[in-house]
Amino acid sequence: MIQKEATKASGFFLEVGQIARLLGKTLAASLSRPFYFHAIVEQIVVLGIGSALISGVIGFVIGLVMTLQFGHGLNEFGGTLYVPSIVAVSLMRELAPILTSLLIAGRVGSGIAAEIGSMNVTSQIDAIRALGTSPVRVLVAPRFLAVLFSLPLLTVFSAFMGLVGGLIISLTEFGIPPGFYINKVLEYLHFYDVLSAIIKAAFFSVIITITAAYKGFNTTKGTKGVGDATTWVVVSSSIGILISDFFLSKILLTFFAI
Amino acid sequence: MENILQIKNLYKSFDGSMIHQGIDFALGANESLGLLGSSGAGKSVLLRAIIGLDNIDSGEILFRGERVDNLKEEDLYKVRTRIAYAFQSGALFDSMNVFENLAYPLKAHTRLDWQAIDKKIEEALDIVGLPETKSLMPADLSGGMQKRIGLARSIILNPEVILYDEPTAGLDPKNVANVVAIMKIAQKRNIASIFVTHDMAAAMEVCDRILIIGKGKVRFNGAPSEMKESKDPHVLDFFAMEGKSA
Repeated sequence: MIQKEATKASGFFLEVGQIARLLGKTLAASLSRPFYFHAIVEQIVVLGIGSALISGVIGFVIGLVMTLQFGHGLNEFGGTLYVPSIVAVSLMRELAPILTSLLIAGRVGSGIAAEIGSMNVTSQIDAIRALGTSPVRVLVAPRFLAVLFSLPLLTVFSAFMGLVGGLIISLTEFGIPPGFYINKVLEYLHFYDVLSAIIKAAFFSVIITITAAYKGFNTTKGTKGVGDATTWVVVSSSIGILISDFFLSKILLTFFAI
Repeated sequence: MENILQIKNLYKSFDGSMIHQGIDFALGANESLGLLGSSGAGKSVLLRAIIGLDNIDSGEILFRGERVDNLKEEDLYKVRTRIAYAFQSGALFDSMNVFENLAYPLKAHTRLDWQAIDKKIEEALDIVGLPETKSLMPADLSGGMQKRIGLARSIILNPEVILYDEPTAGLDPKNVANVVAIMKIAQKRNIASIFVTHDMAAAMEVCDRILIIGKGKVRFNGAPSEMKESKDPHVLDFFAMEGKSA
């Protein structure tokens, strides 16, 4: 029993080590020649722009719901006027990065794992190697850079759409004029908040792409294995995002001393 | 004859099971070597080890006198442009059309412009007898055609050695003849090869020499005409098994 647990634990640390190694290789491939600009742009279009609509919708709906809940909650204490600032700060610092990243983990992370996993079980990864090229450089680096570039932008866009949703509910439900709402948002939302969202999103993008690529490269057992890999990636990267969010929040709050 | 490739005392195991237990052989320049053995004998494993797709446990693999078994993955890229690997399934990139599949190694390893790449691809497609397939996706091709495009991709960089991993497996006689014809063209271009197969007739037609492996060791190494005279029990077993499955 103890031996079984010890084997499991060593397997876990081995896996973490292999993921860290893949991250190192991906960073090296991303920062050295040859660059596959065409592939990076293609991935930005597919992974980034392809996720813009759903990110915007999620941000907008969260803005609507949060404003409604905070508005009614604070109304009891006469604090409705604080709604714009609370919604803006919580959206930018936490909800937009977390929800957009979880969405991208589900949509893009699973896609990367499925694509690389399918290529693995059909010998296409071996073919890339046999043709004297690096699968990390050809497949992982363009996706890594595309998600690293897109996720922070999607996060800020999602937060912006949330603020638009908040404005609509503030006006229609609580009679807060748009000018007042915008003034309060600009007064309470600092550059730090936007920077915090961007840093978090960038960090989460690394978790998503590297876990997805790692699992893709280690996919076995044919199409069933591909299905298992996508599930594993969504679950693992979601847990990784949520756990690291706590530590990132703590570090960022300490750093910026807000 | 000068040896282009040498395998010395190679050991390889998988999950504790020993596949190769001291494999020794050499491949001469311009030579076509048939690698035979029953299923699970480790023929494909050996091919993969030669270009470093799989690591070996011990032993040496030398290409043009230089050890390649201890090279890092990045250092093997150059070797792999000189030793091509033709996968059993073709292993074409399914998100690329035929032109893009064939252009891939040329773009990665040459400075040719698009016009020159196009010319090279047309030549390669002519060799494999599929000149009208440039814009087709792998999914639009039959299994035999995929294998032939895979062969075209293998020869497009003019390698010094080609490792054929069962290129005739699962093909009808007409397609087997097509593949054998492509292999003979490569032979005429002085490309050495190792041909892993169960197809005895194709091996006899293409190969200058035959190697039979069984139970982790080389059991026969000689001319195709001498093969049936071997008294090695593993070789006799192999022929008995092949006779049954034929």
